[in-house]
Amino acid sequence: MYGDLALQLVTASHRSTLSTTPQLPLPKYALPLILSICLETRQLGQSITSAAETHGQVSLSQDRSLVCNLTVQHLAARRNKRCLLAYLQTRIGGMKERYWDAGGGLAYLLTQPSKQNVNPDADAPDLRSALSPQELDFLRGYNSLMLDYKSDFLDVLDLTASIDKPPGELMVDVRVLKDAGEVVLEGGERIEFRKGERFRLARSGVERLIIQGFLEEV
Amino acid sequence: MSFFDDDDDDPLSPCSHRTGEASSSRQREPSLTSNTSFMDRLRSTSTVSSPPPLGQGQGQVHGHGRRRNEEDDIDRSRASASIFDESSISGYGYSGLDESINGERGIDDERMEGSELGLDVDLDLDLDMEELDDVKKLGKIWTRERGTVELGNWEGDLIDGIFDKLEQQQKMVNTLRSDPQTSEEEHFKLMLVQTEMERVKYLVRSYVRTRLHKIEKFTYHITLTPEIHHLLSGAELSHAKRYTELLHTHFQHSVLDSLPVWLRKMDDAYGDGLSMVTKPNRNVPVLIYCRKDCGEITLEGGERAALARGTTHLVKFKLVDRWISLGWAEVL
Repeated sequence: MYGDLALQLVTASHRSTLSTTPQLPLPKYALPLILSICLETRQLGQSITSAAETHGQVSLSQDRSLVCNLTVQHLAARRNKRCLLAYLQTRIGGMKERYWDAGGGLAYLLTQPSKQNVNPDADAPDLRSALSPQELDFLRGYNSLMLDYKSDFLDVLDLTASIDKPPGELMVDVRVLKDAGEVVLEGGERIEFRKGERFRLARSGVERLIIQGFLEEV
Repeated sequence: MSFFDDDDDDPLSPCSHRTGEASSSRQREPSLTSNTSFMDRLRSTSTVSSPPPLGQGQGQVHGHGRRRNEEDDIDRSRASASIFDESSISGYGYSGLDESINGERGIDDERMEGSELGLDVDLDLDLDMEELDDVKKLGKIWTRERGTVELGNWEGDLIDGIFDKLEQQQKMVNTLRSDPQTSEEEHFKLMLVQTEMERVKYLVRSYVRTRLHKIEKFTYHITLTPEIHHLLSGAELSHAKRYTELLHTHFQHSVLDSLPVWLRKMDDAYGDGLSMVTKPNRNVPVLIYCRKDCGEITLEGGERAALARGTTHLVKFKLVDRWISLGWAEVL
């Protein structure tokens, strides 16, 4: 029936919290479903146009079954569009949330492997393969927008740093989880991060490394 | 409430342990004079040749301003104490207010009647927005931005001022840190100053990002309504426009291009009158505190309610938006 596929798409996306919970892997872009919905909508559109053309203006005001038929098809087409956009919008929300959680690190976000133990039969190994090419373009565009916007503030503060909780302490104890090589911190000090070592550093300087999983707070 | 109200005794408040730090630092310093000279040194490193006004100093070194407060409580004869005294009074006024609100927080679905407010709050009422220091102001606009559904006015001047001060403060801290004469105790105080700076930065960050979130949520509405463009800063406006374009391109490429031509618009209204353009829902309730007498409002049921000065209400946003924008009512 008209709209069945769209309903399937929307309920799936609505029921699943995967796309809006940043800790879980984003479900793969439902390309086959979307294509068939687009096809259905195009067919509906064609059938509406041809019906209106063959019957003409006169019968449209008299033939009630034709009017009814056209109305149903019209509504189904509109509904399909709405469902498609709702699906995309939900995913955009999820993508942006993940983007902010990763502290605006796009390259890191895209290559980070999703946690296998959460969902063993996840159909996408990392975020990049879960996105459609268009979504990837969107995320890149969004990234450059954000870079532009935050460049105004960058000499004083980093806009993409975490706002989960107000900072309480200046310093933070960290343990190195992955080799990060030599890193130059804000004050100009250079530190060689090797796995297993512990440091006490200014939080603002190493926050990004904590988010990206190089360091762990002790 | 601004979490820079350091006099707040609430144990859940994020700054409660900071207050503890401050008081412990006070115990560690036996004489008053050592602290004063430290303040003088902190100021003398400023690039401004003339001594900066007290209010500015307080905005820059909030942590110090607070310690000064506590000392002024001990030694009230100091001539320069007046401005710090005022802010300390306002701080106490707020903590009093907080308690009375917490007591009354049984929320009625349409409106909450005002609370019995103590004497100390009256002092606060007479304090206008202009008399507050920058950090307090920032706290207020931050709460307002987070508490309302509509976009507030961009406080560009305030943010610029705070940025300037943060930068100056950073310079001073750097100079003093590299100065070998700085004692152990002063290093400890510098740490407090730096922590305070991080907290101010957090506020700015949260404020800017709250606005960005709203802008992105209502991006079509904003780009289509030139009347509200004055609320946004230049950068925000261009962000809104470019974001709209980006979103549009994304939708276009993903699905709209494969739909029939008459279904490709983005600003349609559906058959049931629902528009595709998301607008702020002005029926969302806000919790407000009346700083001034706001007259009467008519509620949905035709009932009238007086918004008297010093009372707290929970009302729909659209009923009180003009008082909020005037600053007569404060969002909590």
